[in-house]
Amino acid sequence: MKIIEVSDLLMTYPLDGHALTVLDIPAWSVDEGEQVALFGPSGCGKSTLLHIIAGLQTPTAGTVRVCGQQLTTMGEAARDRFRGRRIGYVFQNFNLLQGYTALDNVLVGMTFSHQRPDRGAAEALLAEVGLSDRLRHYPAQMSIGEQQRVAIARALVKKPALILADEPTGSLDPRRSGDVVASLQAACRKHGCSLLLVSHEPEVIAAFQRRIAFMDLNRAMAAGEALA
Amino acid sequence: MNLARIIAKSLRQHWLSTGMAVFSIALGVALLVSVVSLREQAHRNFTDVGLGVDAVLGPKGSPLQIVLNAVYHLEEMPGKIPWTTYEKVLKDPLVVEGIPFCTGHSYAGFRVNAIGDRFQTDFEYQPGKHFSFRLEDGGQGRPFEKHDEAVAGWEVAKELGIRLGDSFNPVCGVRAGDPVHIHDNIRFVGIMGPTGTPHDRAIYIPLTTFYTLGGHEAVAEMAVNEEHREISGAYLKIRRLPGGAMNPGIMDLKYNINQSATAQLVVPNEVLPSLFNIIGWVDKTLLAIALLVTLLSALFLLVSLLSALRERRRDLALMRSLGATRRTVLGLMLSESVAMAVLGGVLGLGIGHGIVAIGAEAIRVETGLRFSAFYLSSADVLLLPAIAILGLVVGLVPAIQAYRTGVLKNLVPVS
Repeated sequence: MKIIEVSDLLMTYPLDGHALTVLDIPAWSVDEGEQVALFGPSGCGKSTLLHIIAGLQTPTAGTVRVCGQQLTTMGEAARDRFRGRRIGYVFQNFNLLQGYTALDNVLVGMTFSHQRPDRGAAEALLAEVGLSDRLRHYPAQMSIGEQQRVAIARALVKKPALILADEPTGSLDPRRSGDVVASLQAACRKHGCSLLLVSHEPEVIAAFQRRIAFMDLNRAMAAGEALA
Repeated sequence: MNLARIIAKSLRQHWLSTGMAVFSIALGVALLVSVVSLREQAHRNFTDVGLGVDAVLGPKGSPLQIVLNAVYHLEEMPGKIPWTTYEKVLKDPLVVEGIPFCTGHSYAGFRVNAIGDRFQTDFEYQPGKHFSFRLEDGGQGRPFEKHDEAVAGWEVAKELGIRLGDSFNPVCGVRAGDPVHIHDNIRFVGIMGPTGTPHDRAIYIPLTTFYTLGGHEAVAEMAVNEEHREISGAYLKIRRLPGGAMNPGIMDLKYNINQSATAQLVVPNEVLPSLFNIIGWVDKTLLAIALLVTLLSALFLLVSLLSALRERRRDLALMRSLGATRRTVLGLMLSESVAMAVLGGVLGLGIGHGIVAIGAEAIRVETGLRFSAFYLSSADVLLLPAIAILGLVVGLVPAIQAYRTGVLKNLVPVS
């Protein structure tokens, strides 16, 4: 079963009276349980693709199916709810709630996924990413790597079918980037969810242990995909 | 982590602006509560409590002055009425009973009224309630029986530390510097239990004692000669209709008495509204100020929410990215606004009742009227729902702005 199916996807923005094409993908998919790294230079549309798959943006044309659900025909609220239940999102800038502890940040992830908040599950996940001693710490009291691990725990706590990671190592040094990618992949494997990670960093792609897809400068998915 | 905890967390996060907005609402609400409560209790005290007196037979003059003097022990009687007039009125079938009195004396700032004996035993200061000298009712001693005996109201006894057997010399008048009846030692033989009425703040002596006080030689014969006797007035109890309603026949009685050259019949419940008309502008002004403060506090709440929203756009966008819908975000903002307003409302109710408690004590000391800090006024009942609605209305502006918050636009790096 396909976890992501994209067909005839077109994303354009108006610019000086013309349409600037950001994405043009005839067909692309990710299988259930698969872990895919999408590699391409900055500005090639990787993040836009992720936003569309997450239902945060609507494409100009084309269809996007996630977990068998046609996102492009859903209303915004339905997409929000769907994202809350089925998709975990790890942002480049971690985007933790600054006034919340690590534990509360994870619990908020459960709240908006319409699950009964489960403190035990949240604590277990934080322990799994090596933060059992940081439960009551606020983001400002944690290192960048630790914050990113909180973000990973928050994405996983809702038991999503798919994790989307948008440049998750953007603020880390190469060694820590490898660690974060490894822990993200391991966590997805353990929890049985698919992973789509986008990055422009060669170190991340080098560390990635699964399928790698390339996006070229024409904003189209490269014909040739490589398996690491 | 449920939505209520998220709201509480947000309020805590912006504790300073939250606290100031809540306090400003509390201030407005406290003013409203205290003004409305004191106003309603004043109306109640001056009307219902109105005060076991169906009607007052008094001299010609201002009816309001007569009521204030006879019932509230304030002001002075505008004159005297002949005893014969009183006796004639007593014979009217509509009049159940009467208690004559003479005012115009005082002691240590409290009125000393000479009054008919039955006042101590038969007078109902509230329907069915008589003065009590029993210890369990807060009283002491017994009613006066002899001409040199007196009973004190509860408040007088408390304030002056009166004990049974103490004596005093009444002042001939109610102003500072009026002459003292230095040869008339009158002994306290009773203290009436608290009634929560102005009677707690008066001293009572036998009616005939009034005429025999030193210096009253000119009227001394009135003590025995009823034909020449004059009194300040009399409390009248009117025969009620079955069910307790006032007998409309009182209008005829009033008309007949008022035709005479010497007396008039005053019904307190008719006269007292004019008192409120006179002082009405004061409480209207206070009420207007309280409303203005509440509206200003609502404005403060709006500013506080808008400024908090500026800091929170990123958090709200993040919540949206985690699965919160626009409606959820709208609901969060509205709930915060309502929570702050209700918090302010509850705090304001507490402060308002505190103000009433302080005011009540001052009023009790000054007038003997009992105001309660726990009195539930219409403001108490209506204020919290009204303040919640105000919070909802005020919260609409920031909530709509939050509703429009774009997710991607606001998920920017934290520096």
